[in-house]
Amino acid sequence: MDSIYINSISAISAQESFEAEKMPPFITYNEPWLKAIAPNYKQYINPRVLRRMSRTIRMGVTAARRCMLDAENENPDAIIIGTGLGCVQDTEKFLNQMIDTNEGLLSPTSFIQSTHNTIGAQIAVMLGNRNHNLTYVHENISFESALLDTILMISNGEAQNVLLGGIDEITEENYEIKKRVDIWRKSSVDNSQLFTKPEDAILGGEGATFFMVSDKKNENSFAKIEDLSFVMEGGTKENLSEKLDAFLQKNGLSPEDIDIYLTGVNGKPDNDKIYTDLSNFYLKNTPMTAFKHLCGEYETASAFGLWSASMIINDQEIPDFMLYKNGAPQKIKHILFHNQSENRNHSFVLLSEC
Amino acid sequence: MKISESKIFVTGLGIISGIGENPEEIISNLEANKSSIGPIEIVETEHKNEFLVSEIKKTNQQLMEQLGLNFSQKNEYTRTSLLALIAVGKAFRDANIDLKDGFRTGLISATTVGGMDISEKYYRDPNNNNNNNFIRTHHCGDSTEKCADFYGISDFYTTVSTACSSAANAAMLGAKMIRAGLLDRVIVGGSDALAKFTINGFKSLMILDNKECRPFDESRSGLNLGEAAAYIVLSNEKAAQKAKQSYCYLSGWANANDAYHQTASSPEGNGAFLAMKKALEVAKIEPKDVSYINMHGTGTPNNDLTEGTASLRLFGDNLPPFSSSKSFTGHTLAAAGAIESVFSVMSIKDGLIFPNYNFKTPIPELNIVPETLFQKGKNINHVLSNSFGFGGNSSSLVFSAI
Repeated sequence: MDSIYINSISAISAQESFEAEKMPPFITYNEPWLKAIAPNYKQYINPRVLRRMSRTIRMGVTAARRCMLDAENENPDAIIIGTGLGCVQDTEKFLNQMIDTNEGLLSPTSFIQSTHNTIGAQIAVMLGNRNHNLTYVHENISFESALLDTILMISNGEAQNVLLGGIDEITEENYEIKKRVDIWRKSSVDNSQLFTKPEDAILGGEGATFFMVSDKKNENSFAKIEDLSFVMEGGTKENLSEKLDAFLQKNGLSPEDIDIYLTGVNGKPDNDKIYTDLSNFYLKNTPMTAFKHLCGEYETASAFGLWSASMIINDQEIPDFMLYKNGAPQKIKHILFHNQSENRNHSFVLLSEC
Repeated sequence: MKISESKIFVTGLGIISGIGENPEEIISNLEANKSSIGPIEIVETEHKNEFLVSEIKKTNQQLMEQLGLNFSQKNEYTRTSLLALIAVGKAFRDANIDLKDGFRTGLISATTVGGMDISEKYYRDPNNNNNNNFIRTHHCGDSTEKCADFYGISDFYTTVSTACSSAANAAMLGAKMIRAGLLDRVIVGGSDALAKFTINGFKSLMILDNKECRPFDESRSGLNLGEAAAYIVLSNEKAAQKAKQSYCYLSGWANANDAYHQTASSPEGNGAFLAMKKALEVAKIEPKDVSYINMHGTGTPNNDLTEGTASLRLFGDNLPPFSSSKSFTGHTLAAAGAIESVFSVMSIKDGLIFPNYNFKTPIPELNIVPETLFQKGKNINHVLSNSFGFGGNSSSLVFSAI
């Protein structure tokens, strides 16, 4: 693959990630889901425009703007977004109005903002950016699909700098609805004990995470993206290891070269088993690490995962609170980032120090 | 990643829409000037007698029977999924796909409403535990994953949502993945069922016409919504050799943003202009090479004026024959670009130009006249297909004769 670099990063999450210069200290909560910490939006968005924006749009536009400011580039060649559910608050608002009025006279604002591509569109309008603009909406691979498009754009010479983002929000109503079908934990959870007290339901979360991905590295580059691979259907540890081995070999690496196996473990045993299996079977000596106790589980949590991987590789250290199994790494040259959903829709991102 | 400039073959088509469920039926309806737009019969809405739509006149139960699914599973399948399952299956069979032949096969689908048709019924109904399955089928990826599981497509799948330009972007990603050597063939397209949510949404924007829509006509006053699912199969050369046929190439694609307003397009049609221009560049053809344009042409005052303006900017005095098919099909949102891809492929395959039904008087600011007659036996080399959407998302595809 061509050289592809992460040159700036920005994340709004339940941690103090926004404007952080290194991996921030662990904030613990005892809540049913992890709410993102709101930054000072007025610093990034004109108050007149801000008033009309729902929460997820605010988060998305602000994280995007911070990322572009750090990259010193407010004219990306493409804006590519992943989101699982898009603008939930606007969707609910329009649905509720429609039901309450029995399809009466409705204000179009929340309908307009309910479309999944709203955040990408708002960034384009804000910047006057007429370039490639796409939104991917496929569950836990929404962000990785956007990353794939980013890699294709850069490899094809269509873009030198791509603004890549992953955004999802939780609303009170959304939480209550998901609770009905045992998707989410029903009571408060201490997120520092997410892995020691596993349950058959997940701790939800939300956030907006952006990257400036470029064809050239500079003094501020965080990491090099070596490759991305998908395994859609679930598998046994044997056949997943085989596929993972082929992926590493293609990039001239063996499992011993992987310094950190960053995983999407979320404290739900059915979901986490395959990571542990792969660790025991294939990446036997590699420190296995976690990030979802920091940001919660959501469709584009993997964007926060990539953000933390970028931080770790740039800091050249990993905080103890991210270690899950097999101790701490000796060096941090290569990170293998693996995310999946109950043994399907696997994505593997290979990152290197640069 | 090495990106080649290899040819992308179109080897299969699958469609279910108000205007027909296969190319032959659709062509005969277009030839007979038979629009599918009429009163609402299936969707349960207060606006039943107020607006006209293009509906697939089959209940979910009938769609499930067509697929051989048991109606007791009705809560697991949204209408968007059922339409997608039918159209993907048709494309799959038309291209004669054998998943055991070693070619890597993907599915890239587009939708805007996802499972909203079921969510809007049940989400305010917390006591009805039988209907809570909508929570799992609401998201846009559900219909894609249902299709992938049903047909066994496991090399890759994902879902695109860029409002009414969605399916064109699905085709674009598919073509790029083939050129990058990541897939050998990929089923691309989109599915959107009619839902109360969209009917009320477009009503609130006041861009629904309560009569039949009239794209590119001076009297146009809004769009008619529709529902459909359509998919085409894209293949590299080797995979195309195994297919039943190759209809044409997908030779050009582009995505641009109008960067003007969330729902209105810029007076100059900047997004539309850039999408068309870049798509021709990717196809390595000149504006004069285009034989026919299948316009986005929704029938709203804003879209048709700006799309026409953008077309005049690009083509000048040599605007090729063009028409919008939305007065036959309604605006099927995320499926629009896919239906119109099927129309574009049929245009090349059979030398057809489709009429712009309901056109009478040109828009004074533009003075351009769409094709009004169904024409056969034309020499069609390159068809340009436009899809534009909310959020300024503008995409164009170019299909070319082999």
